[in-house]
Amino acid sequence: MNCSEVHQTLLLLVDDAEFPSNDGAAFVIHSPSPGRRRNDIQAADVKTHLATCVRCRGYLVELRRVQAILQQSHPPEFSNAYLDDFTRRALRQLPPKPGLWTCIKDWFLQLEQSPLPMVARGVAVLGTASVLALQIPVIESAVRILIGM
Amino acid sequence: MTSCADSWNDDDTSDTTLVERARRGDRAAFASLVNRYRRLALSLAWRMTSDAAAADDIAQEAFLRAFRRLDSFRGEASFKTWLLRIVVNLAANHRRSRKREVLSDPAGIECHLATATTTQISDQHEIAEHVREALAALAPHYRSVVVLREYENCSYQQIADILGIPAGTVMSRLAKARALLRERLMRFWKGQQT
Repeated sequence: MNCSEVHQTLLLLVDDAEFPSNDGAAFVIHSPSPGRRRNDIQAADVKTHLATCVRCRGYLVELRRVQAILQQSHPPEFSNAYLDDFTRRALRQLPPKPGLWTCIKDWFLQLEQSPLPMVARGVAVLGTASVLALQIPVIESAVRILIGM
Repeated sequence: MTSCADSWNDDDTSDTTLVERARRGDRAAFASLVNRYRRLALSLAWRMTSDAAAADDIAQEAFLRAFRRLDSFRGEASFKTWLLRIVVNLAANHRRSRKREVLSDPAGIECHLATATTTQISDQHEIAEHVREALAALAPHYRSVVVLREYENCSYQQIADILGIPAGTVMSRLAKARALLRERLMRFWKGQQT
């Protein structure tokens, strides 16, 4: 394994590489988790290479340092008041609940696509339309007059 | 801190149940989903943009889109994964203004710095600023893998699921992103030493 290959591998192994506290020359790389590392042999090759290559050890030190710097950047904190307001705004922006006519339209569309026989669909549509029509006062009055109620 | 590895469920109702109820028009169920994932969505958006106001916008938009698309959510991925994908996509498309203001946090969002002396705080601010700049300089597809891995503690597979890419691509992007970050941050660090 040459230095370039080791650098590439270290970029992924850096998560699990660590230094023993009092021996800067030796490196410990944890056994790769199943399915997470390319293979054990690669990690072992890197370990062997690191034991003899000052340049690659320096590269690993730098990678660890970069990770440490990244982790110094703490996550933002959100106050409870802000979070409550966030939820309120999130709910306020939701589209309004569909009205009666939207529901009726959706129902007709669903009916059109249903496997019911044509006659059954026709009866359902006519029945619903009649009930709805009777909700309109003018039509209701006209029907009452016609049937003599 | 929330992360991919954590369970965020603060009650026994599963996401699947809440999604199903929200689909039927139950606003309270959707509110529960918002409460469950708002911190995560905000944190991820903030990490992706380094801009608190943009993070707020992105997280709001993500929940709105999630709500509008609930009917198309088939449950192949978890709601969390699906939501995070929306956040990442929105953040990647977000156009930051070229001249960044000194973090104009909406009230209630604070950049946390550990208790430290004034000098340390100043140093930490400088470091945080360089980290933000280094991350912001990364292309969105690199930035997203770094943020999900380093800050949200997601596994390669979780990142792959969120981004909708193979785990091998996650690994190659992460390697490249780390190399770029090393280059930028080591330049800063060496500059500090001289």
